Amino acid sequence: MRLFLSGVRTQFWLIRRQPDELLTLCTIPFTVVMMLSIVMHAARPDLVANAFLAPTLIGLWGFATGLATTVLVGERWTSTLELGMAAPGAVHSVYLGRISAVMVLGVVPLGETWLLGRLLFGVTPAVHHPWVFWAAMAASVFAMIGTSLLLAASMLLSRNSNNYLNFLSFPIYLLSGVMVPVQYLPEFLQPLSHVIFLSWSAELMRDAMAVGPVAGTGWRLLAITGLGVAALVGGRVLLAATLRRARELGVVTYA
Amino acid sequence: MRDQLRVLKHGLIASWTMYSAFQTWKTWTFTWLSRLLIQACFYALIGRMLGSQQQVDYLLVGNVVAVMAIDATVVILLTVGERQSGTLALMVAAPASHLTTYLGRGLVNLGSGVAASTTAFLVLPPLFGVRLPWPWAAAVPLMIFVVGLSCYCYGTCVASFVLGFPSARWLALNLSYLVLMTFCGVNVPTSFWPDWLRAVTSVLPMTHGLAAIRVFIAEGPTSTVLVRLGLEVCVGAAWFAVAAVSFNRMVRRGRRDGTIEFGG
Repeated sequence: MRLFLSGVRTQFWLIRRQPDELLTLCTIPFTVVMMLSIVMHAARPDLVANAFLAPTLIGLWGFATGLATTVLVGERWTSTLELGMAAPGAVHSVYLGRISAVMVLGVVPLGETWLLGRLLFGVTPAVHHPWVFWAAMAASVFAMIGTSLLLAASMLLSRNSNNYLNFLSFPIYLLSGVMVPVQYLPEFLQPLSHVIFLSWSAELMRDAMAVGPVAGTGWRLLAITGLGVAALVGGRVLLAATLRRARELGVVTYA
Repeated sequence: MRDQLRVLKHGLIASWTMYSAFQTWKTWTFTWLSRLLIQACFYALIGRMLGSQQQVDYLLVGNVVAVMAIDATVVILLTVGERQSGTLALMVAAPASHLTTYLGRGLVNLGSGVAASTTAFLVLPPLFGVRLPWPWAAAVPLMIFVVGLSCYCYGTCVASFVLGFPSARWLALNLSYLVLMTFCGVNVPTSFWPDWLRAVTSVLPMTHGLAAIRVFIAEGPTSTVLVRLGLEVCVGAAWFAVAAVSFNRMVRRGRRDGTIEFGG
């Protein structure tokens, strides 16, 4: 736990030193304006909830791929990965702490979206089931931490990880239905959505904003958390395997 | 002129060498191009959710052209990288103009953007039921190139200002293309915005060129298409002129106060 907290502290310190790493917060307003302008121009106030949720979840994912996932690759670039591996403490906990610190900030786009929607378009969607909404948000942040660890460990396998990180944006937004519900996708793609936790998050959060009762809240929260746990375990195992392989082959710098 | 073209040729070879060190045709196709195609699909699907083929047409065409802006403005990162590599002092000492190297630094990426946008234009409309006026629609890639060039000029101008603040280069890149994608008639007509914002969009690239493409696809008057394309070229030329003046100012200031070496 001490190592985990040390990772959290280190990451907050790094962000304070390099505020440009919070780039996602600067791009969210454009996503908000794009999504809201589309639904307002089409005179579809019933879709305002979708337009609010999309930037929120895109922001969460943006923090993961833009900052959390690059924690390990960044360590390799600055040649501190070797030092971390040589340290007596378990380095995984430190990295998990750093990733968690980033993902806690992933909640900020939610407030940013609501504020901008109010200021620029004069609209704020009602959240009719706030407890479900916040539980879904909390579960999503947890699942994002696990997913980020898995992605961060995967990125160590390539020397050209930026290409893959660039790819992991719109395909995920499309498959997870952050703006357009999954049922609008071609049928053969829909099963893929079920293994992306964001699709469960988007659907549950949209339902939480609607007037009608929310069905199967427990199961759906469990699905988000379960996918998060699976990613966390997978990420931990992959990270251990990648670092062990790098040690055995003597290629830590190019792990 | 011939000398400058030779410098440009060598600059292009260097740019291509760097580009191909990071991208192979496989990574370009399966990570970059496919991501841009899916990005355009994402917006076209919003049109489908809105329940109107007209919205699908509007969003798909807008985003097929707009995805090119990302590559076109990457010149911001590349010029800052060039400045940081410390080559400016050598270029200033050389008899050829540094402008050719700096302003041509991102042409390879512009080519990537135009290629991606053209591929999207050929592949996606049939998937979303968007009807195009073939065989005349074959002229659209040329128009995409004009829009791309204009966006590139805008990117060089932003780059010339960002050179003094290299740590802001990623922010500048993202904000530059997002401004175009958000306000220049990509997702909603520019008439949706307040008058002052519409006035701003009229001096931004993409606005007139994209409008020309839309009129052309709708088989509107050729004169309107040509006037709109002409305006797009003028906007691009204006941004390019400001970029050239700004780069020259940076060099003059650097020579005057001795800061030119600090680029390295």
